[in-house]
Amino acid sequence: MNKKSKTISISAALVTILISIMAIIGWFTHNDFLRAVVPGSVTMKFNTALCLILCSVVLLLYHFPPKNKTWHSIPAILSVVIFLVGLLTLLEYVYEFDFAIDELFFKDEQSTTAIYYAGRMSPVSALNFVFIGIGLLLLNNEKAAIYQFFYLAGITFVSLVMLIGFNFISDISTFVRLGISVAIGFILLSVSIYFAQPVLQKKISFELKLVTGFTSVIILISLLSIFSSYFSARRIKTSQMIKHTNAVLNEAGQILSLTKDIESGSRGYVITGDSSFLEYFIIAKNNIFNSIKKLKQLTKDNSPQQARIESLSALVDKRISFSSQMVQARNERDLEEASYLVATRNENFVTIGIRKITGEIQQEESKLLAQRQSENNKSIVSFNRAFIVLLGGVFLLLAVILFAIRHNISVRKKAEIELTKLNNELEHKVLLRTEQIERSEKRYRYLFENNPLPMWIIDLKTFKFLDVNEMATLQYGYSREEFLSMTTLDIRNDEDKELFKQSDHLAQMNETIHSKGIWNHRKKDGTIIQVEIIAHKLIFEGMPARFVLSNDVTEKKKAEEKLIASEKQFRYTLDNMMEGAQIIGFDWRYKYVNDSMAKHGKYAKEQLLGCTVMEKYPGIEQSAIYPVYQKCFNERISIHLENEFTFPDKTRGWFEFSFLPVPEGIFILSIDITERKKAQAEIKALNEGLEAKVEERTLQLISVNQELEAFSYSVSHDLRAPLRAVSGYAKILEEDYKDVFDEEGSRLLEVIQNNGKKMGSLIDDLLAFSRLGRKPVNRSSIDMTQLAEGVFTEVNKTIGNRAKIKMDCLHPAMGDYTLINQVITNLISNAVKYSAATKKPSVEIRSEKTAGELIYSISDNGVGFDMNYAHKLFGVFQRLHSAEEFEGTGVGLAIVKRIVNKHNGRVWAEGQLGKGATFYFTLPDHEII
Amino acid sequence: MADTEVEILLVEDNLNDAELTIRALRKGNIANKLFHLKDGVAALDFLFGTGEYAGRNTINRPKLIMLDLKMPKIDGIEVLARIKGNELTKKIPVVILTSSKESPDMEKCYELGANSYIVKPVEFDNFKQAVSDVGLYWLLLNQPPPF
Repeated sequence: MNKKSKTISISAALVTILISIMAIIGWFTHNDFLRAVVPGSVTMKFNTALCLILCSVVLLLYHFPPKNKTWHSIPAILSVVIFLVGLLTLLEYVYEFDFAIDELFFKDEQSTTAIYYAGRMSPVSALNFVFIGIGLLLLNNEKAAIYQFFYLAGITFVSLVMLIGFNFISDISTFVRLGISVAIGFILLSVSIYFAQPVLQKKISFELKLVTGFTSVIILISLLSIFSSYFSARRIKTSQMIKHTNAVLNEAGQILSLTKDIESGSRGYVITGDSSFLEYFIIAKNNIFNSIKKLKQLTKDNSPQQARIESLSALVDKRISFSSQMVQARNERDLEEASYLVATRNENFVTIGIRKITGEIQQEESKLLAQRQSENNKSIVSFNRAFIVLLGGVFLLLAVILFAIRHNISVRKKAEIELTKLNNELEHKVLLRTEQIERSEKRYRYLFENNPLPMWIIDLKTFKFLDVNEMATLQYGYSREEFLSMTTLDIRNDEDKELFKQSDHLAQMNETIHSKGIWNHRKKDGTIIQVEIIAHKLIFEGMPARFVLSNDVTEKKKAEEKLIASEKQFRYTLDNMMEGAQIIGFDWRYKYVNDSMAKHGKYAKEQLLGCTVMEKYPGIEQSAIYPVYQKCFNERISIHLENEFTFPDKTRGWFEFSFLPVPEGIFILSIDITERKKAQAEIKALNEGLEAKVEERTLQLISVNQELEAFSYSVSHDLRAPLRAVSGYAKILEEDYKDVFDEEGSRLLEVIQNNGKKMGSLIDDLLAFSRLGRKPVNRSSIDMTQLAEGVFTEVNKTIGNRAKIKMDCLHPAMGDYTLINQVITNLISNAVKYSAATKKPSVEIRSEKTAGELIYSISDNGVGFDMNYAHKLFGVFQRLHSAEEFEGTGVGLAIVKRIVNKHNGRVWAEGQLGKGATFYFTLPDHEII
Repeated sequence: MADTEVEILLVEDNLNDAELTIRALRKGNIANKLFHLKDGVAALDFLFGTGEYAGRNTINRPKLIMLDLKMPKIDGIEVLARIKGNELTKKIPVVILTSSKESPDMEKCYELGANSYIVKPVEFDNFKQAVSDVGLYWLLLNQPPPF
């Protein structure tokens, strides 16, 4: 609804309410100005005022719909009430019945005309309310537009006519009239209802409005004709009445003059006896009754006149009989007699009476005429006024119609001009468009022809190629001419042909505009390519056709298949691997689980997929693993852990979990380590057992060691004592009995002494060796170069410094200085000892650093050894040379081995008989502190 | 020999060793006032005037005690402990003469207050040398403690 219409409608409704309220106030205060505007004219009835207010309220509610739902039915209820008031009032008029609704609120004290129903609204108002009631119910209903228009036009017209015309015509009965304020109220209400309905303004054509306008004019003119004919009739009647009155006056005058004739005739005859006088008398006597009869006839509808005529007639009779008697007396007797009669019978009063009555009759008629004439004049004046106003109304209406037509015509003309202009523009545009289209056509043709993808158009009915582009000919191998003689079936395998027909049928049935799909096409050379087809329907040269775009996806498909195969392979791997794999979405639902996971989780795959973790493992929120899920979800970090999981059935299992954030949520890899854990527990138990065993063994070892110590003690103590005795007593023999012994005796004694000495050193070495086992290793940094040099110098002295040494800087080592000193001493002693016999004894000492080890080697150019016996070198008391060749107990290398082993090193030797030997030992390469 | 004149008290169960020791000392001319006891019991009885030597005037203390460790009945360590644990005898220099090189013995002896610890060499020349050196040192070079 446009804003202007709405404003008009609302304003009109508000003014209507104002007018009605004024009338109601008038009823309360008995103020006729408020009730009728012009005091004495028709009032606005209380019911009318009320109904007008209700109508306006319905309209206002229509414009401002109440928010409260219970209020929605209010307009309809009010409309029905308005309709019923109108209807009941009409029924009252028709059936002359009183429903007691007229003075329901107020007593109407006004009683002006005979046909007046106190407090009842005019039937015109009642009819109006019936129409309006229906109209308000059908507000803005498109189907009711014609109805709305006509009743609104009707009400407006009638109210206007009433307002400007009828109120001036006193002849029109009061009760059908409308009060001034009522008429205005109805006009405003009609305007308000009209402008409340934009539908009406749209639906009602100008022609209909025009017809309605002309109809109104015609009705007005008809009304004017009716009124004018009514008033001409009245005018004729008036002139007739004047004639009639004149006739009456005339007749009355005639009667009076005849009476005079009778009197004078009879008198004259009596006096003169001349019979000519008698003639007058006789004529008058004969005519007077005719006149009376005529007069009687003329005033037959007027009883007082009739009564007067009766008395007149009687008086005339009296006069005539008196005059007759006088005449008779003259004739039969004489003048005296007659004079006597005249003198005695004073009949003058009769004539006077006649004169009086005729005067009365004449006066009465004249009065009546004057009265009627004044009435007529008044009526004519009011009519003339109404006539002029109504005529003015007709002219105004005609003027409005003319203006409307003119306006309409000018609007149409303007529209026509506009249309022509638009047409011209359109034509121009069409021309431009055609050009554009042609250009565009060319462009698209170019695009079609030069498209890098094969394209063609096929006839939908015959599947014949209608057009193909160059790329199609290049890719498929057919020439354009060949293509145009083929159908789309010709580029397919037999099995595909059927498939195509079916799917095409379906496609056509479904009327799909676009279709897509992967098809196998055959090139001219017979190779099959996979193509992705995009097609849509079009009209090509007036025929239903299909535009097809073909994209060779053979390679893509292959790649895709490869990808799928690879995906399959990975999926197969994932599905079948021993580790459980699962993907959980951000909504905590299982998106993927493999068989192992299902087995770990103690559910079937199907039971898990789509369900949430919490559904399947109630109570997991309280478990230690739950925060790990959350952490992986929220912080998107990988987490690896071992966890003992408690299943809903309270069983437990150990799992190694790897939580990884993935785009879908989190991926969890799980390994069932329950068995491993069990094994670990067993190992732990075993270890504990082992430790106990070790402890037991250690204790055993300690006791063995103690035994060994006791043994060593007794060896050193108990073996040395007798040895010392042997050695000592042999010495005593040598000292005290030297002279007693011969040479052989002395030699034998010496043998005893030598062996005693040898045994002593054997025991000492053995003890030293055994002591090594118990001695703890005190590690410190050792300058090996200095140590070796010192030892060599010391040892070299024993052979008179004959040996040469070849030594570079040696790597420092970490070890027990005393023990390593022993090793170096033993090895250098050996080297010197076994090379002493050669011409140029030479000892070479070297060191080497390898991964984690320091290798020291001591080589000599001595007698060497047979590698076959190399394994015996480091055994206790194991010797490769006799004591006669080289001194020694066979413990030195055993001690070397023992010390090196105690330092976590290794020893070995390389040698060749007569070509020297090399002894190696290693020490762990500790960082030197 | 009168016990009052005892200068060296040799406690040795091995008679051979004892003889060799005495010979070595004699060769060095320092064995004149040597008294040999064959076990620990006898040694203690002698020093404290008990048992066999009851009534001996214990004020007459030897100038040097040469003590073997491995002995029947009461061993050398026990004897050493008793000597060093008694006010009467604790100032007497005690030289341990033993075949044992075992460190526990040596440690124990020093702990108990042994004045020297000599491992008897097997070879007689060395043995003789060692014993006569000990005798010379303790009897001639060393100033005995005042009693």
